[in-house]
Amino acid sequence: MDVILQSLAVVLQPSHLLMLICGVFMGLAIGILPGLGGIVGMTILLPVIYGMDPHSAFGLLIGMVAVIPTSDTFPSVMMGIPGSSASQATIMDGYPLAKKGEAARALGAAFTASLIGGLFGALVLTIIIPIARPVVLSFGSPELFMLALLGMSMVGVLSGNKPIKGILAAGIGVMIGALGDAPAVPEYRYTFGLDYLMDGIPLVVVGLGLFAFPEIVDLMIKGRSIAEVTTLGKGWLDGVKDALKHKFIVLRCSVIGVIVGFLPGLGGSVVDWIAYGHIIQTTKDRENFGKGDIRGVIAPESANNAKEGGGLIPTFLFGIPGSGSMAVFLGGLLILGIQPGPSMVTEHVDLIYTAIWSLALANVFGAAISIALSKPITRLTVIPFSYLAPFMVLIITFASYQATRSWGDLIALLFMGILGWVMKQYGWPRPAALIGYVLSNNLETYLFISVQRYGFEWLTRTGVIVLAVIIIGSLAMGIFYQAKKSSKASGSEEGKGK
Amino acid sequence: MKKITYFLVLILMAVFLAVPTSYGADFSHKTIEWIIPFGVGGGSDVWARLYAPFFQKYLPGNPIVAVKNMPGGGSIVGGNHFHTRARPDGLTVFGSSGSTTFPYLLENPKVKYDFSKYKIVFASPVGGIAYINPDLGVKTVKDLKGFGKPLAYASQGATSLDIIPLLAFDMMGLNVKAVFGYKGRGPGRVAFEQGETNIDYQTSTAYIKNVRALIEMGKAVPLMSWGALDDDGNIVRDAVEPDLPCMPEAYEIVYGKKPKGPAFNAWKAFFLAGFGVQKAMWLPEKTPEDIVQAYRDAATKIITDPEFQQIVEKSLGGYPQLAGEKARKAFDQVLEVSPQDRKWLINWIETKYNVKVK
Amino acid sequence: MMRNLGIVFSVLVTLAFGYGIYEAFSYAYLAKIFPLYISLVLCVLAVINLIQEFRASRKGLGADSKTTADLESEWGDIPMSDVLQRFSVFVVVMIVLYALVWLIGYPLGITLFIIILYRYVSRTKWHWAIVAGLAGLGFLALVSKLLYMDWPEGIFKLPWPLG
Repeated sequence: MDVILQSLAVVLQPSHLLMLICGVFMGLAIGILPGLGGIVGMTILLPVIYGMDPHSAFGLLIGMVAVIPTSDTFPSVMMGIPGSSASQATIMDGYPLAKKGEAARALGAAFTASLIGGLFGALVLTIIIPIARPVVLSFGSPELFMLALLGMSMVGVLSGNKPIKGILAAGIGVMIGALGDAPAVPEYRYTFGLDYLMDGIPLVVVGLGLFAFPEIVDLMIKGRSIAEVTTLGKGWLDGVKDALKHKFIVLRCSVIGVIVGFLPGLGGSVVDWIAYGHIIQTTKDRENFGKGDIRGVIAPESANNAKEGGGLIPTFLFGIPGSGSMAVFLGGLLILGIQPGPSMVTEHVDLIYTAIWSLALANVFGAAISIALSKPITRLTVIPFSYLAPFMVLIITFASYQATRSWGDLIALLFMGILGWVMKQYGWPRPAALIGYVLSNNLETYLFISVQRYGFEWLTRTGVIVLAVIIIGSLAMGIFYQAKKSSKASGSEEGKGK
Repeated sequence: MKKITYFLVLILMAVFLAVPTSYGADFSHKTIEWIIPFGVGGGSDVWARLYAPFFQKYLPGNPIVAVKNMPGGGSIVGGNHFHTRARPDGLTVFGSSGSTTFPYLLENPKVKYDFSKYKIVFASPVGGIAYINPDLGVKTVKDLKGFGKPLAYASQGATSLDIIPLLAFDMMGLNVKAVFGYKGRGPGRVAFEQGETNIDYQTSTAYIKNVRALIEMGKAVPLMSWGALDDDGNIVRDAVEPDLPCMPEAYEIVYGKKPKGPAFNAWKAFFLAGFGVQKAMWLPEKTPEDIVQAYRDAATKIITDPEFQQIVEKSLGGYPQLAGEKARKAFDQVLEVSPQDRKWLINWIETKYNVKVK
Repeated sequence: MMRNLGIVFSVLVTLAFGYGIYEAFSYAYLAKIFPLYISLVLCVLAVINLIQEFRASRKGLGADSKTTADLESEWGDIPMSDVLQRFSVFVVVMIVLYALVWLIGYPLGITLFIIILYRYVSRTKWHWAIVAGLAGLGFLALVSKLLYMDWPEGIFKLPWPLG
């Protein structure tokens, strides 16, 4: 208990706070630009800490990591562009809200949810640390495979009334993810002999290509502004109130965020989708999800900040990153001479708590700054898009290029962009493709390892069975609801133009 | 009269000869690009960034040394880039690691770079220590004699650094199933803790921080280290765990004779590439002698800098760093692996793991 | 028109998975399992999807290809052929941008791109267009200096920060 208070004292020292705030600013400044959030942002910012003294650098590092999921929200809401590792599901309802002119409300709700989610996550984390090790250890490869499968099952929720296209879209994503080097063998798949494709297409390129590019094109074609109304509607304060009104959603999803976040190697990729899918499945009136239901913003945003906190656990306790940004964070720790591992719980517990408190505080700063910025930034949604378009092209090409710094990035961006646009026109759900892509590697690797190691008896492990039940349960709920809806829909709902 | 002219000519010649030497190796106001074919935050990136400020300090003219990350193709992309683009003017250097050397040694067709042509500046060794699950009843290497129980090892791939442990285990007569797909030794260690695998190794820094705690808790039993190089290039015990036998010793304990033959030759060469001189800095082919010397001198000075020695202790495993000639001699042993031994290894990988070493 | 193109895309997807199966055969055992089985299942599903689409188009049902999951794309009063045409124009513009970048490097290329778009698409006056272009260039210069970020260089090498 005094360790906890002691580290709080350390965190509140002005020098540390200053570094934390600097980190927050830097993380926000970079993360706010589409494509430069998440892992890419961390990779860009990390070299800054080299050569700094470890104590200040630590604060800076945590500040940056904490706000990556926060800053990612801006492009998600404003243009439906998913961030690198978080704020992906936010596009589903955040962007429609922006189109209705309610961007500020979406942002306000998102940041409040992020803040509460992040703080609550930090709290849960503090309590969980003593039992964290055994829990993490009980998640072997088979269980992680089932978890990836759970993430995939979210595709079902997202496909609405066209499940086949949803699965196919997810399949397209999985195959794009399989492109490049195979997980265990020196075999390069589907590369057509191109060097660029040896490592597969980077996430940034896929995300920007599938989502940003089509949006830019469509907005240019329509010749209007992002918001389809001329005046901005509800403001950020309404968003804050919304988040507070739905506080149980916030708390529930942040618990999901922390728990999934702390599973090594997987959490980061799908937490927000799991939260989004969960909220849809557990709500009776789902009509508006995908069209601007504020709960569709609150759920993933609470989860994704909590997951950064959760991600600290495997990173500190095992030296295994819990997500992409954690991987870079880990590199930062190594530079500072901090070697994560089991000894941390015994020798350096104070460092872990310092990190947790810093994370919590950084969340607060980040949310406050973001909310302050939301009003001016949302003004951009009413400017005729042609003023924004060239800069958007600059940002997405520049951000894509940072992936591997080769021409392949730009060309791949164009290809993914065309694919994304066509998918958008003909009703192939791109979020499903994104999930498939993100999970592709994990699915293959964990399945692989499970079969190699255990033959087929891994299917009888307790964890596996529990997760299987959850997956089947969630799919069943989805189908059941669909059946109820179509029986109700005989006639009156045809005109709704779904 | 003739004697004076004679002396004057000698002096003039001396002056002429002295000037170009110092002219070539001055990097004032220049920026040196250190290509690291790995991502930001990774082991090699950290290694280079620890060294970079010291090179700035000790290279003549105090140039800026900027690390340029070029990850891709498992470090092949960066290596190829260095090979085709780097000019012999001392302004571009390359940092290689074991995963860069291995594809080169295994004659991967995608590899364009060629270490036999470059000039080495310095090399950093790394050590590895193997350990096993205590439930198997093995307390020391001696118990491995005739040990038939099946073991599982978490591996990244049959052409990765795992060749070292896998070949070593094979030579020791152990029945080890390699489970492929793990993304590195970190996940490998977690798999060991979970019981998913029961034999593992870690590099020294990770071993000190993580595995020692496991040993104290009774969850792991240390077996052997791969070894370290002495000044004559022999494999001797690793100073991190001086009580553990090194691999050749362990072999002797189990079989009663020293290891030799194509398996051991291949193992030794790859051990050197993967551990003995795991990371190295290179200058391109045709770099003039004076520039090479300037770099090597800087490296030698860095190694003796007390501030740097602390860094070595803390973050580089405390292993003696090799500069200049020492590095060259050590790496030459890697390059001198005979074609038959190389073929033997490629064949071993292909038959045992059903993997085409493309 | 749109429906037909939609079907063309579905056909392409089916062919793509077919190719996936075919390619997968040539891989080493460990690398082939996953893509092979996934492609197989997906190819079957793609064919089913194709059949469904044919049936729907024959029955003359509306181009109901929207899902709750996807972003709305109501074109209102713009005919589909116009939409496709404008899309193609955009793609061509991107290719021209890439060619420009390839020749003179990214910073100058994108700056010119911004200026031209501002002048001819947004129809602003020249000086505003140039201001916009310089803003873009300034941003690039800033991140390049502070964060060591990189950009593609053109064949004709220009001094920093233009190339």
